[in-house]
Amino acid sequence: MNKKIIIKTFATNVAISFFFAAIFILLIYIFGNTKINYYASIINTVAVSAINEKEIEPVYKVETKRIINYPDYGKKYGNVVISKINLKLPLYHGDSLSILRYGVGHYAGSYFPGEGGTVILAAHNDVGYFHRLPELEKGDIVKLETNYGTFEYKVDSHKIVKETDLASFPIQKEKEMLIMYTCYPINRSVVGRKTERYVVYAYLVGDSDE
Amino acid sequence: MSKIKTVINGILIFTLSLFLVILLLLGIVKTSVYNQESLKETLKENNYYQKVYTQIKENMEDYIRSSGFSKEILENLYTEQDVKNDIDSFVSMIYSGKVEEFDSTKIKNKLDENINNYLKENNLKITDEDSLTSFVSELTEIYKNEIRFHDMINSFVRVVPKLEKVLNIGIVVMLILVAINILILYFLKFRYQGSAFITASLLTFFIRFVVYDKIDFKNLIIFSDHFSEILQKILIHIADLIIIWGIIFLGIGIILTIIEALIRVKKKKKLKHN
Repeated sequence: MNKKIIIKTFATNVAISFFFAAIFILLIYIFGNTKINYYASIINTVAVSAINEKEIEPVYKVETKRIINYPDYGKKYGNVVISKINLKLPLYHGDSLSILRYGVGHYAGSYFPGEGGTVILAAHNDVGYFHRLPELEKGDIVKLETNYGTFEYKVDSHKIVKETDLASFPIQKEKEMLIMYTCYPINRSVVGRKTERYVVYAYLVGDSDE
Repeated sequence: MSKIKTVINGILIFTLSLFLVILLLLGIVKTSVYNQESLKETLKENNYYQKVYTQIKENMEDYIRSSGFSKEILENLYTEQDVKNDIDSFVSMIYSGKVEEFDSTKIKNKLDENINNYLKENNLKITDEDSLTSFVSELTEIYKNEIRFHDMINSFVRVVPKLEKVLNIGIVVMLILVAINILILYFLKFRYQGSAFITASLLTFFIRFVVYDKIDFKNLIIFSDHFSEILQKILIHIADLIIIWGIIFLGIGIILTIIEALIRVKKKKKLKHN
């Protein structure tokens, strides 16, 4: 008899609890679900998904000059090779200072090699980076060996511009143009914040993988 | 129990469980987010000060790479203790609600001294004073931004004490409502009081699992990696507290249910004797 009372009391309390919890959850679902999902999606826009161990390689469509699965920002996706100045540096997507520490940065607002537009690359003017860029002459070859194809460019011209001279870095899609730049003056006898840039312009010769 | 009494009993259990959950959430925010000492402890445990010190050093080295200066000019610019003091001041500033300008004089003066020494030792001359001034200014900004992130945080700082007032009022109101609710349930001899706590525990589990399932807390990146790490740690700590209190509510609910069951057994026995 006592057992019955105890079990009955427990069962009633648990049943009431689940009943009220269900009402609460239903009310939240009816009146708050949209808002909760909305705010959660806003918060999740600042969430960077954990990097998959298997990275998906980019795929290049020659006919349409399109790339499927762009490299992630901050990722190495190739090498810059300039035989004339004995240079081979890793090429990264992005050009933040922390990326430039490791090699050549690709300005994320420009096109990727092979897309038929302006590709803008930057590197420090230190030894081992772009310090020998001024040695390039018209006709010299610059190779971009990416993980979706190799692209060769022929140097056309160079100039020294102010860092704020955005017109010297035109983003266009009529012709595939490579712009490489570094801080100027390059020599270390001039110190401080470098307000000029040494810029080299080159044009696509052909895709070596074709 | 009459039908009216049953309905009132149900309403009181419903409201008590709601008040308990709200009180719990407010209390957790008060003791974790609004606890300055707890936050500083979290920063210390996660080596935040050291990570910021290292990040400042790396960012400054990256910045001066193309400048022609060597890393020498960054020597003795600041210490790990300086970074800790500045971060702690920043945290105190947030909780005080008063925006204070960052005093970069010490770093700027030391940087000027290092640069002048470097120029003398290497027989170099500055041709463009303006570019040197902006160079020093940008290096100082690097230090400030790693400590304080962005100036837009200042608008948030002003709101913090107001939010805390609202939080405190909310906690007091909830405590009063919970107390009134429990007293009414007890003195008017309403039943199933344990179910209020069990309901509260079910709701806390629901909040914990559903909300944390929808938001990718473990991968949030805001401002910097180490700041994000601290934020993730705090959010995970809050998640753990919610679970712990959910279990405590469940325990209280079960105990109250057992007490109620024993009282009913006792009443039944009395009736039998009579």
